[in-house]
Amino acid sequence: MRPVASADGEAILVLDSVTKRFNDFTAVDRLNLVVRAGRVFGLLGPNGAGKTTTIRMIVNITVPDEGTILFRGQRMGLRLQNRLGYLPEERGLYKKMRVGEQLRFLGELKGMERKEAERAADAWLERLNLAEWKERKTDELSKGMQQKVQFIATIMHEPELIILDEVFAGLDPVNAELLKEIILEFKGKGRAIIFSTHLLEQAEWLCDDICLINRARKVLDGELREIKRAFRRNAVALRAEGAERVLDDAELVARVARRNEHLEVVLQEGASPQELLRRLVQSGAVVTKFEQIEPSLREIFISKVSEP
Amino acid sequence: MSKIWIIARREYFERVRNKMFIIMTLIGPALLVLSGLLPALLFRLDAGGAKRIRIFDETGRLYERVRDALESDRKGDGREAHARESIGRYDVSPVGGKGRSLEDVRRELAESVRRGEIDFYVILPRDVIAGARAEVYGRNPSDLFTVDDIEAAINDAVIEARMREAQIDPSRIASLSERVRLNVVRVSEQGEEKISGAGFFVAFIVGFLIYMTIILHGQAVLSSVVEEKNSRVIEVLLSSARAFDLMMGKLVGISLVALTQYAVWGVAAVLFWIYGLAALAASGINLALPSISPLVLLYFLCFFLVGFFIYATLYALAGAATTTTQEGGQLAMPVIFLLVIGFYLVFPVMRSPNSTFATVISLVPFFTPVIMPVRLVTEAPPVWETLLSLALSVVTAIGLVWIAARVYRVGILMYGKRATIPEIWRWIRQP
Repeated sequence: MRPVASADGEAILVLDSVTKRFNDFTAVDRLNLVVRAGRVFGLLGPNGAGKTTTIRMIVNITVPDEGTILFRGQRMGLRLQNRLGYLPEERGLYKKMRVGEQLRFLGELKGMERKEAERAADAWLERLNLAEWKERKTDELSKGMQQKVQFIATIMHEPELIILDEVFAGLDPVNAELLKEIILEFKGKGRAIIFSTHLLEQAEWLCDDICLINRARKVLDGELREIKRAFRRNAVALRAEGAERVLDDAELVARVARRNEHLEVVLQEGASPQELLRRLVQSGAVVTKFEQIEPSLREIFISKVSEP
Repeated sequence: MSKIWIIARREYFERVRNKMFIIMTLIGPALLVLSGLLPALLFRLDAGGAKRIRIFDETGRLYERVRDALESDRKGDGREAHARESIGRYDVSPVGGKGRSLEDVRRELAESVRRGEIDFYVILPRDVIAGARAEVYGRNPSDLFTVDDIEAAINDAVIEARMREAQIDPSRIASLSERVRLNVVRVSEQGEEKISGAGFFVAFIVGFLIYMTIILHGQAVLSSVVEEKNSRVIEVLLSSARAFDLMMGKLVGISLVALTQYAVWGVAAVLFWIYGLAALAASGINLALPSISPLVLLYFLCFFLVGFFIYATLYALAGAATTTTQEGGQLAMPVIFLLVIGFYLVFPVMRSPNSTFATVISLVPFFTPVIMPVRLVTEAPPVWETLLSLALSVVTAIGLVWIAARVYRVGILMYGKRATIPEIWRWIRQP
């Protein structure tokens, strides 16, 4: 079951008006989204927004009440499960099972041959510095190590679509970086990755496209860079010596706020950052930092959610 | 299909390599025998020394016989084994009552019982041979064994005295009242065969094995399901395989574990049969081998498997609907109840194995695995009935696995609370 080669940007997964209800409670409400090959798709939102329910429908644990989920143009179903890799939010491993056997078992469940699964498990354990833990029982491992084992179980069968729910939870920065590297490798190989988290800072780190959901509904989606551009404010982070004269120009600068490391300069309407930079250089100020301020996803999310 | 196999293999090897399983398999038969014998042994165990008994014999003719009976192992028919154990258990002495009133004797003996000098005293009134009651007094009359032994000893002595009065030789009576023994022969399609009750015995063992297996391994099914839910492995599993395959694989794996255990025990039993029986025969004890046709044994295996599947699935269902093993255990109580009912139904079925009643209940899937083996070794039912009951059970088992799989799949969405029956029903009907 080798993954089918796919052109970057090709739609791997399409959710069309997907709805899921539990009794009277609507967990996911008419959700549309498209996940593309060779890109990391951020499924974002606060706890309880409906992320996990959405993912469970994608991996075919539950089925939508309404709407359709298409994987490479086919309706999601049992036949397609082998082509997905799913890392659930909470670690799901057999505590008393040895690490090596656990991975072989989970690999076989994804349709790998026994030998093939063993080889893949060994290679990945080596790569993630867990080789010497192979014969140990899973509950002897630290939480971070278990998370890495779970990660291996998710990707060892080379899935076309990888779904990671809070993958960095409990990992130290070094291991988080290691996993990020591997995720980007898979992205480079043209796989699609769904990255779900409630920590929006993490998403900025990794995602190409995002979908923000809140209370079962999509709030915002699109390419992360585009979204940021659309929400950009006319402000600059500035650190400079001898800039006071320029900043006093009321036609150019609306106001200046002092931040920890820099000044936040909000420009007048119609004035551009280029104009400010040119004036600063002309005036002989020594500029050590000049950066157009982009709103964080957190700010965007809060402003979208608090919209009337 | 292949995923069922992968899951069954994991379940099997994880369990078979478990230390507890290995230990239980090795010492299991010993424990089983011990648990069977222990209550009897404990009951017979007498912590004290010999019982001191004083006997006041007004007739003057019975004392010696009673003493001999209590102190030696010479006893009447069928009581040898019992008596052999009582050697040295009784210390009997007479009460000289010459010239004293019965009341005085009584008072004196009661006093020595109170002081702890003796344990029991016995009054044999003058007209006891004519039918009056003998009297036994003691600090602890609930020591049934002693009272029993005293009664038997007096009984033998009195009967013998009556016979002598009637001029009958007691040894002649013994030979004249020898019991008749029966040869019981079963007539069936296969011809005639002598039965020794071993068939019942085997059927009972099959029923008992199903019962034991369900108690031991059914619980394992339940806790395994609960563990997968609690550790969230189930999310990974359900994103890789059908819930039905997961359930089926689990049950196949665990039933193979049970069969492995019985295979080990079976080999031990066969070895015992071959070597142990010869040794027993050499020391004068002959055990009859139950004669059962291979076909019936095959049926036994089928009923055993299907029975285990039905009940284990009910356990799985209980596990899938709850979040802790304890709650699951409570929910599984009716399962045991169902099984016990089946077990009690064995007795009326044994008496008339081909009655309408027996036929009907042996077709009820929950009772089939226990009842059908009994019918097979008693009065063989028609083949179509055997096969029909087997088919009904298989269908029931598969249906139950299907239902349990549904509940299992929906149950993961539920944290920390037990599902109500209507909820479970809704899950089953959900697509």
